[in-house]
Amino acid sequence: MTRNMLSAVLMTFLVLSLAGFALAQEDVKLAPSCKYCGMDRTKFAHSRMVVTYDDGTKVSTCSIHCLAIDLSTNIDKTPVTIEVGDYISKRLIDAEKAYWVIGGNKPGVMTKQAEWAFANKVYAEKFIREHKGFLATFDEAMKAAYESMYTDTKMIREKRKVQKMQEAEKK
Amino acid sequence: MKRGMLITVLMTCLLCVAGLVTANQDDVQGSPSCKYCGMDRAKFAHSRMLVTYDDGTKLGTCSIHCLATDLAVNIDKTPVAIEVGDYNSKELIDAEKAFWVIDGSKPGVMTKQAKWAFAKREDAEKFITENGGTLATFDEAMKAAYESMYADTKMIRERRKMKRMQGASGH
Repeated sequence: MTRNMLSAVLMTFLVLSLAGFALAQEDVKLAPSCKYCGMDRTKFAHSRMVVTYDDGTKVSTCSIHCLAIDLSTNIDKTPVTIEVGDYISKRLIDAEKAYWVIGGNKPGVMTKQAEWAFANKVYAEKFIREHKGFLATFDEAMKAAYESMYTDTKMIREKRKVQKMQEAEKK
Repeated sequence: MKRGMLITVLMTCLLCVAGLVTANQDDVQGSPSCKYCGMDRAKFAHSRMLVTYDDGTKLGTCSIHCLATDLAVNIDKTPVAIEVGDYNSKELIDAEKAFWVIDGSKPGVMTKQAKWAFAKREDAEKFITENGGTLATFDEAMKAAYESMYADTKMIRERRKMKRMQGASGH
């Protein structure tokens, strides 16, 4: 009896986890690449973002950098929800309630100064202990994304130019 | 004979002036409104910008704010020329050689912190004496445009929402 119960609990846990994972990846299936840079949103599931505007439209990006571009482009729409991939589980979470970490030694996505989101404060603090950076709110992370956009845009442009040249040489 | 010559000279002068005005406003005719905010580039001729990319494409905006957005969107193109309307003459000048003024008492275009360009240093200094602000390079003005973009985007969104609501209630 106890063994049966244990199996049932394990099965339920497994099914729920798989369902959760499938749901978490739904936005990636719908938008596999970033609207702005074209980067793979599965590869960058830990930094990807989804914004839902008041007219019901959604825009999916690889990072807070590309989300910031979208927010400055779509000035006639108001964002009603902004979600971000949790750095640990990759599940989409409310960006405004997330615990953000700015900086640290892990290379950022589309930026020199990384910005990561965590559902759990404990994991954000653990990340800071291991990789440095500092705890921030969504508002602070957004501000930082805009502030580094000038140098980031220059850096990305150069990086992509070199990549293109290398690809052309291979052909 | 004398009268005929005078008329010829006057006509020539008139044609020259017309030619100059047309040449100055060529970019406005090509893109009468800003790609990002839709604002009238003739009205904002004193802050308008024009970027030419390495693939030969050109893009006209109302201000350095919208130009900054375009540079962040078009990461696979390299700008080869960036021009700005001189604050006084409205003539397009090289943005990198211009004397920029950040801030001051004149309301900015798409930003709380205004950025103006002048062909002549003395004109920029005269503006500062009369309206405040600080002298800057193009690079500093661009950086400032990105730095204030988060607050500016929020402000613009609110302002446009209000306008739409006022427009709707007026009908």
